Amino acid sequence: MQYKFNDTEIPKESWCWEAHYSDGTILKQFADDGIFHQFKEIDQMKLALFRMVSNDGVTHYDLIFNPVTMKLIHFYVNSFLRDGKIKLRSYCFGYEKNINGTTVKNLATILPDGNLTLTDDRLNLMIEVE
Amino acid sequence: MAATVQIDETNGAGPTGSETTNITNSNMGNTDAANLVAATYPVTPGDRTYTKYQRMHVTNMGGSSSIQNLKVWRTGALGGSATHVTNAGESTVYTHLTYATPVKTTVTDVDNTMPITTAPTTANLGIGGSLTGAITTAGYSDYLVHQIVTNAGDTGGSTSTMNYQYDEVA
Repeated sequence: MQYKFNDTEIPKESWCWEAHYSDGTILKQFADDGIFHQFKEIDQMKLALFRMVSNDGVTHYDLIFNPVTMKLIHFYVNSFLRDGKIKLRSYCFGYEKNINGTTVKNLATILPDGNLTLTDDRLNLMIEVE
Repeated sequence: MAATVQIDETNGAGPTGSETTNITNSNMGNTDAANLVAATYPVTPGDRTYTKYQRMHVTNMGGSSSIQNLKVWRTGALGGSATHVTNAGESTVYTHLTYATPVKTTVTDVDNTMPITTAPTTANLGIGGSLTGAITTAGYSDYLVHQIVTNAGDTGGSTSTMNYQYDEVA
């Protein structure tokens, strides 16, 4: 299936997000009608669950979301290693919340091998390449 | 969708020089050229290599809205007591530099030590002169300027590679 954003074709990601709203509707990053949606289109005030779905259509990771206390985070980390000969992409998602005046982040990273790692500091992650 | 990002290198006379797109290596030596063969342009121990001027170039946002948090670092040890200096740096030590004709002498503000082995903690290469800047349409990062400083007792044979990383919001 082809997906488009502003008439530009967008190849599907290895991992895509789905925003499941409290009213039962779902906004998919790569929607069934072929439209690509940006992260900023998510209505976080009615978000109940944020899901990262593998392109195998089965494997997924869920974040139960509380719009009152959480701010959603999602981005890719792209690494060009060894003069760019090795290109890796990791998928980060999570949330930040204010606890007693301090902003605390909790991030999950889907590594290039598909494994999920949780951390409060993404810098603890080190990807080693054989 | 991934934004399309490549590393470009500028060489030749300033203030604009000429650009080689999508370079395949960062080999450094005794000439000002992209993708050079280091063995063909060896550096006399005690000399500096020619400065490299490289940029991350976003050629297509590909549906993404922002590129930010740029990090550069080196993997591999240098030979002898050589050092690797750069304008890249975290926080206040970063210096935004415009392009100038590459030289094999000292360049003002190209005096930070290139991070090695692991990515720096925070961004160390700017966008629009700021480490917190973002690329939102096709365009460039600031210039990464770097240079190897050898010592008289150094010998050849070491191999290092450069690594580049960025965050992308789709």
